Amino acid sequence: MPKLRPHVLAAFLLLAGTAAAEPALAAQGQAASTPERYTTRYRIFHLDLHSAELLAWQQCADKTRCAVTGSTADEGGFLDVLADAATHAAIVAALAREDAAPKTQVFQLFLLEATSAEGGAFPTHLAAGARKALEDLRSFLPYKSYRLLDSAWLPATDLVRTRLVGDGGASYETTLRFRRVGGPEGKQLFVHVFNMREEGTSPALVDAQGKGRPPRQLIVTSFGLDVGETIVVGTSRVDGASDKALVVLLTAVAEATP
Amino acid sequence: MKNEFDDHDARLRAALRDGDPAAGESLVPEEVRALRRAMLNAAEDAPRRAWLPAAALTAVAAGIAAAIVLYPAPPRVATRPAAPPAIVAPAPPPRVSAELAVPEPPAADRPARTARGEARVPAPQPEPPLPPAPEPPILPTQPVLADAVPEPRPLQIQFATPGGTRIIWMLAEESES
Repeated sequence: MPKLRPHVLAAFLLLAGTAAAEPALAAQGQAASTPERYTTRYRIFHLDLHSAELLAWQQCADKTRCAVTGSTADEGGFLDVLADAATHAAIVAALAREDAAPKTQVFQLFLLEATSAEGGAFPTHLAAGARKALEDLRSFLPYKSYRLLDSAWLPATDLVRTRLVGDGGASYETTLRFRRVGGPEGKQLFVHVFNMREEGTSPALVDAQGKGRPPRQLIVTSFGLDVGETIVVGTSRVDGASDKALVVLLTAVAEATP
Repeated sequence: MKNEFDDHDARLRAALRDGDPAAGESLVPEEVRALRRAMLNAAEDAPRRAWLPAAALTAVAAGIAAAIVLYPAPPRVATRPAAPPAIVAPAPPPRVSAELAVPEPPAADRPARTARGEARVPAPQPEPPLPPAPEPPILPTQPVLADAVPEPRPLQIQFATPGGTRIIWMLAEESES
């Protein structure tokens, strides 16, 4: 038995030494494998806050080691991100790419009058997408005649207003506000405001007896729209006429490919 | 050539022989068997005792391993709970409204029936205020209006033609003329 003591002592010392060295080695290894994290605040200029948060999360490889907080102040939107240096570098690059100035989107707009008159006109000099939409509409609705009243070419980044003139000088203020879904290169738009309202100066507000009426909101709607798509927005009972309608063909013009 | 060690061994050998109680007389068979049993028993006990160092080492190692496992970990930096791993991008609004049981629109406003979904949906909620537009001048012939009466928002139906064209149709109120 006394001969065993040196062996036990040696083993104990060996294992005790290993145990004492393990935390230091583990800490050293952890420090080497988990880089330091720090918080940086990013100003968001054009993206909506949710899209910016999503973008930041997408740059974080280890979601358990990131924290992204969006906030809004008077100056605009902010992201507070706790992450390591590599993630911050990726976020900076992504924001520089995605939070750039909004891309201009061109909308083409045609205003037509639809009536039930048999053998009526059908505009032939429309853009291809608008023409196809109008043909679909004609085969679908009881209106037989379509007359082009006005058109507009509307480049916009966010909000655009225009004035359209209809039959008899009736004038309409049209407002369109949109945002691009899925970043600056997204091919889907969300038109969250599309309004058409009679202008207060429109002669259509005064009847033959000189009696005026207030301007009306003819169109109030919102919709999604793909770039290159044409949507039809119409309103009936214009001026109380049951057989007359105003039709707007709105196209999100696709960018010409070089 | 003898040295002092050889002399020492010889003296020791002689002393042992002189001191041997069994020298000169043989043991009876019973005594021989008893001695043999004792030797064999001792031989069987020897391996059993040889495990003692290993057992002791194992116990020590187990204790140290337990100490390593239970060693307090270095404090970690407090982190916020992780966000959901997958965040779904916001989907665009539905392209075609769901079917709803709605009253029929006036005959003049009712579009032809279609196989596609047709629904009447209320006008959208007011949007955030736009930049103020210039107020339209009031015509001389325009009667004074009750400003407090909110302007009715037109109802709308959204549908798609068989050709795929989406149509939003506003159902204007009956005009007072």
